[in-house]
Amino acid sequence: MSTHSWPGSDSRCPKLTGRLWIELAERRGRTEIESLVEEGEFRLSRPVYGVGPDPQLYLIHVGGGCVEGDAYELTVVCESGSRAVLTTQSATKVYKSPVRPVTQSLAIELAPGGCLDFRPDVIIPYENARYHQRTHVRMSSSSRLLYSEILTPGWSADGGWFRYSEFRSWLTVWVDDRPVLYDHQWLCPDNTFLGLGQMEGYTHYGTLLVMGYELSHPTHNVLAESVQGLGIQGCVGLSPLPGPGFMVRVFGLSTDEVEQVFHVVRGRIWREWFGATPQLLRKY
Amino acid sequence: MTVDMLDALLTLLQLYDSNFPSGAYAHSLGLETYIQDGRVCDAATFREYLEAYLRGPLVYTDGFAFRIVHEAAADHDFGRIASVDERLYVNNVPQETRGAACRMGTRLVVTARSLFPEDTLLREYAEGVRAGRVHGHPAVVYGLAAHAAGIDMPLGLAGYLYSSLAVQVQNGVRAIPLGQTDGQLLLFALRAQIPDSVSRVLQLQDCDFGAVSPGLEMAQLRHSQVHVRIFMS
Repeated sequence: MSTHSWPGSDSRCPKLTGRLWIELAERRGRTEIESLVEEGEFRLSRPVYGVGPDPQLYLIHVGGGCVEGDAYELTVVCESGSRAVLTTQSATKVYKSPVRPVTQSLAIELAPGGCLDFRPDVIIPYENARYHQRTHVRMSSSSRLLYSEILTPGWSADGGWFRYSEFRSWLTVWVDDRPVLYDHQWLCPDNTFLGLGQMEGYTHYGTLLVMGYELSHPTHNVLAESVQGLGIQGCVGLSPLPGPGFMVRVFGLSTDEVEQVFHVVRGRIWREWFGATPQLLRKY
Repeated sequence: MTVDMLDALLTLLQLYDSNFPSGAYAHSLGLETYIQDGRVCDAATFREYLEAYLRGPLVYTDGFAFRIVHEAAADHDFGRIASVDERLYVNNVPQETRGAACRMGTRLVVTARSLFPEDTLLREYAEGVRAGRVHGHPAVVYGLAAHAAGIDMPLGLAGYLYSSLAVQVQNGVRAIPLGQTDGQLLLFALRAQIPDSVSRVLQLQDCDFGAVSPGLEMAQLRHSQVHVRIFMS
């Protein structure tokens, strides 16, 4: 089965607002940037070493935010044995785009033994914004991935929530050339949007994906209890995937609540994978 | 009315009868979480749940899969049918509902196959399920069975949506609990929305497949942690 038969995977856009290609490789026990292409509004910070599973890389958007018709493409390749934490410098702000949506395509390729922790800041669609994000992960059963995504609605001029038109996110994961996840979020705020079955009164929505990790029943319970212990007002769900891996979904009333949940889960995974404690990335 | 039309009607009635052995009565698909939380507690709140279920997963996932399978069966394209089966499987994040779909699909295909022994696609799907080449899903089996019975796609789809709602109504009547008359009134009200749901399914494009209803999925994810459970999902 070709990946092209999968909905949402056809992401080619003729003219890009920003494009970034990063290839990471392991050299003498250290992960280095093997090749880098920066085009348009996307830049990559210099790698930061010395904390946790290094390097830390910051994706920089030199524009002030995404506007109608913007198209971005990001490719991250982790060669065998390389590892990195990739984050953004600030939130992805999406402004009104009633005709042509803002699109972002992200391709993550992890060779055997490659490891990536992708933890971007929140995505904030403002009034009349339309945002389409396509994420495609190709990895081996011996590579590891942490991937998170947080959606928070931007305030509108009259102070109301949920004035964006559309948020769509397709996330596909293939392990050893077999699909293990096809996730499709399609949020169109309307009169039923806050109701039962949809956002159920919550404003923030987060997804954390952990691949290359076999979630045992005891660990599942430990994580569920630790998250409950946070005492947040939000709602958390967790399930193993046929990966191996698992997914965490969070409903919350603030970005902080969602991040607290992710921090607990990431902490557990980091201790097992790297023997390290994840730091809260200070950016502002 | 011709003999063929009567035959199609009777086939529909049999396939979509709640006595048809699918095992769906054992799966609440997240409804039980809402009942335990007290958010579904009477006919009005149950109706909200049923409407969300119809507008969300029944249209974007099950209904759309039914349509693709029926169309692929008309083209005799088993590769496309297997691809839908795989997509359904990996689109289902909560482990319990993923398992529920496989169990129901595996059970249904055996019965469907015995009703339509000459149908090569049903045979191939049944053998695939047995050999582990495909996962098994009710939408695929019903799509194949409707095609094998010569039932038009929109008609078969309407029947499939109706029967999916009917079994959830029965599950709710037992678990909330509600009176049988309340259940039938709900089904009557929901039935009126099925033609609209069918036309939505007919308009969907490939990239629309499997759009998640966040709240329903959250309830399905949390079901494994619910303390008292009478359903498997």
